[in-house]
Amino acid sequence: MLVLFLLFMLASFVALAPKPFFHEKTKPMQMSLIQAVADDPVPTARQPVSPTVTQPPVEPRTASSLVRSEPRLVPAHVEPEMSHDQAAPIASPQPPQNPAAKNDLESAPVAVSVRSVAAPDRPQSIEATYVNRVREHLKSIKRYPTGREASLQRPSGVVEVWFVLNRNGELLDMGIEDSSGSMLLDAAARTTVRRGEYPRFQDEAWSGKAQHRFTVELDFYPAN
Amino acid sequence: MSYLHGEWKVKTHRKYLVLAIAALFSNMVNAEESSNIGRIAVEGAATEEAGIGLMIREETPKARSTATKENIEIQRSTSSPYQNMALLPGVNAFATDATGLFGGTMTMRGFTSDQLGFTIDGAPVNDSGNFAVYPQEYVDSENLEEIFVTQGSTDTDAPHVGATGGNVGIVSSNPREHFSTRLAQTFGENSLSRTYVRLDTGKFANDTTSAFISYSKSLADKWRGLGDADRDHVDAKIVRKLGEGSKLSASIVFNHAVNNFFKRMSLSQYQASGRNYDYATSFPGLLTPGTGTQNESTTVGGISRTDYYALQVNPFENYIATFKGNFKLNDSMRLDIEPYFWHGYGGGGFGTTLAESNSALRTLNGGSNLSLNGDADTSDTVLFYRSSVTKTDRPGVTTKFNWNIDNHKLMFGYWYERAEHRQTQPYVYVNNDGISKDVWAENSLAVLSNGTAIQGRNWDTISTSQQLFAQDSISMLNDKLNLIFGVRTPKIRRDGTNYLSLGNTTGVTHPSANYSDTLPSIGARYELSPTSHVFANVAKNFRAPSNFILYDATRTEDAVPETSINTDIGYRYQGDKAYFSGSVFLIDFKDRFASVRDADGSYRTYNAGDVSSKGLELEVGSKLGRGFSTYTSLSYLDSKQKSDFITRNSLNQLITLPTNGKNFVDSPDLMLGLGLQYQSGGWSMGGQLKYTGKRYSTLMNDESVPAFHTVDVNLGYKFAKNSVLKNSMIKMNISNLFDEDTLAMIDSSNPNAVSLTANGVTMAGSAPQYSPLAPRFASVQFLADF
Repeated sequence: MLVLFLLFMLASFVALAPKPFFHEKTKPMQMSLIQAVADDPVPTARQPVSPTVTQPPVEPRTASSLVRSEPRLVPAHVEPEMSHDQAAPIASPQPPQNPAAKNDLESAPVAVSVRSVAAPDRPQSIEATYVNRVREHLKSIKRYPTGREASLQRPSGVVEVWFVLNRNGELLDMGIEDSSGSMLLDAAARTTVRRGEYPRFQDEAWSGKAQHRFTVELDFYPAN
Repeated sequence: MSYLHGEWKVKTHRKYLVLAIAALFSNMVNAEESSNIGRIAVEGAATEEAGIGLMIREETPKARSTATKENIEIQRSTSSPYQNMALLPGVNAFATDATGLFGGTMTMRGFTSDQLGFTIDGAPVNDSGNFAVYPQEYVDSENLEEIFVTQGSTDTDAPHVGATGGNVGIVSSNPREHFSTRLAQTFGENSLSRTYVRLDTGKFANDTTSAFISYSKSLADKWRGLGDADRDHVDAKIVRKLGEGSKLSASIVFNHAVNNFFKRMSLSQYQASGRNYDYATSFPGLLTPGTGTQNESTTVGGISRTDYYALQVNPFENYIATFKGNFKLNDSMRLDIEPYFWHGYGGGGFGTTLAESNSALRTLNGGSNLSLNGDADTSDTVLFYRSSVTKTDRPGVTTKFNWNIDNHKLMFGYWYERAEHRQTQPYVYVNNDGISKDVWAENSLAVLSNGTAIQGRNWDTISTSQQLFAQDSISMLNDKLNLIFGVRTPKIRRDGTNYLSLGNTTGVTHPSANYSDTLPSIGARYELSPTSHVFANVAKNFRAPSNFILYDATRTEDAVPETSINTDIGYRYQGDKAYFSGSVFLIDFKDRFASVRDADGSYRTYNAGDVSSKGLELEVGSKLGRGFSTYTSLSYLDSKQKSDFITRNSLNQLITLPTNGKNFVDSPDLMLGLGLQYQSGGWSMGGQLKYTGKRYSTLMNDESVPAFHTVDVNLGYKFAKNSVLKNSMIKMNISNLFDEDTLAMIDSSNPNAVSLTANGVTMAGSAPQYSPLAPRFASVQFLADF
């Protein structure tokens, strides 16, 4: 009995080994082709003016993790239609897509030059790579709030947080760009961004600038 | 660096012009360029995948565990919250049968369920008199979102006056976003049949409102003896969003069940008769009234009339209505107003006899004899179905104000509740076939000469509970350190009326009692890395004595509230593939209550003196890849009595039992929980193992339940989508796979099982009462969405 228990603990601890922080992703370049439609070119007052050319991906909402390819044996999680889902249904594994821009609050212009993909050393793709790293890191440390209030309220909403990093990846300043309407979620979004450990800028990324401003949207939603 | 050079200028020129114009009109222009990381979906706790749905990425600075919907859906559909929590650290829970329809027992870090605070969607559900809980009456498992437990400290804003041992929160799901209907049918052994139907309206009224209603009917036979459970249940909820951050919601949980009781047994009865020991299955008939003495308390062929199974019935109907108004006042203030109303009516009925010669009966009857069976003499002893009837109406409201200022998250609030608890004990006549004339004990009652019903007890208690609470959660050191200071001041005032009854023949009295305390708590969490933190928490908890103290106290010590100081220190790590949570704890009790549970399910407590508990709780949840997910929990508990137990024997002589240094009751030294689940394609299969260590059932540690373990398995398949049945699924659950046969539940513990003599005074032993583990049981469920 005890042997079985120890085996279990061992297996679990093996899975505890942390994964490396940096993984390269090249998807965003492909996605920007698809996203080059239906963007509102006129930013609303509260949105920052962002002439950046990279259109970052918008994580689709699914009831299960993105990497899960098998349908889950939990019917309650599988909605007849996924209202938050901006991707195809869960059953088929695929990279995050954004075919419908109806939920898209992005105002950044989309004019990404396809040509930039072909030249990996160009600053724009290095910056995009950096943006991807930051996104993957935030994804790994994102937390839906916990505690009695979160369990009973189960708030949902989108929080847009802005933050400024210096070349060493240190967080200089941050704030809420756009509140979700829930104090709990705003606080959770701030905490996620604040606790991030960001990489150094590579020399070609935003070269000449001592710091750079970023924004991120955290879309909180309970399972139900 | 400017982007506007080279080929970029050509591409973005036109867009830039538009932006520039817009920028003139925007009042939050930021001339600095900004890179957008994108939108990241942050799913709620119930969708976590590590730990088979029994762990979330917890951050609260106190010991806390959660059973999520993901795990609840793997279990049998009839399962009660006790069964859903069974593997969590610190939880020692059993159900009387595998379906969970007949209730069960639970202890957590050695606290019994009547020392834990239970809420459903924030409304308290512990009995207002004795804090008992009946989880088989609560939300249907398909409508559950999560069950959270705080093993040590009661939450600052939790509406409890009877919780020294932390709290349990049952949270129901919100209505779905799209119109849907769900149908589920379960079949199983012991004639188990459960039908469940749910309708979701989807969004209406301009996308602001959604609602659901569900109904379930469950039937199952007892696994030993004769009798069954028959449960009707309705859950409904409506939610309306009022604009950003505000919403209104209302929900109702309704339950109507008529169950037969299982018979509890002593150790010697179990050793003599085995686990199938139960009430009598035949009835020798009533005696014909007439001249001479008819005594229906005698046994006939070894069978006692009072032991007939049909006379041991638990009919109960209750509903809980909760309303919530959550109003966002501005970006940093929110007001919550949450009234609720609980209504319960029913009783625990048992076979008993009443002698016409009973002196209390004569006194109640104004000094003259009374014939209970209609014949001329008053020397008979007549069989009755006597039910401890309880009717409770409790309206209450919790108001809370949340205010964020700088790095402080403040919360202030007030809880008020007025519970009216009417407790009677009428005697109902029995038919010749051994079935009472009214299981609800409203008609065919034995009456006095003046026509009033004869009551064994007759109490009316108005318990007014209030609590002020305040909490400040401070974020320091760049959010690395979070300190939480809280204080709550629970107060309960009990105003009782003790009407005339067989237990009170002297006169109507109005006993009352007031209990209150100030309970501070401090919690801290310090982040070691983005994925790990340490936490600590110290809190004082409080439990008022039960209301039976007003009417039936035998020792003044039993009228003192119990208090405890709980300290948790722990560490958590939350990676991509696994979560770990470990904590050590120390609990210092003053005037610890030990529970004795009467056969009708009501709790009585006796003050067992001071107890000190310490232990360790670990949880590891992991996602091993290739569809495997595991969960492991370990709970070590060392609970020792710190004083001798002073009591009186049946001759009213004082005696001191040498309990100092002995283990406390029903506190297992070690518990292990293991869960493994594999999901691939439409298949889902897995198992859970629970090991429960040795537990004592007497304060003198002269009787115990040995250690044992049980294994449950599940297997399910979700069909591929087709046009009509979108999410149909079939699921099989087998409980107690290896048919383990042992005593499991300690229904009532006692000071000593073996007679003890000290200084010439003898304390007779009283046998603790147990319920055995249910045998292996299988059930199958079909579920479909339309």
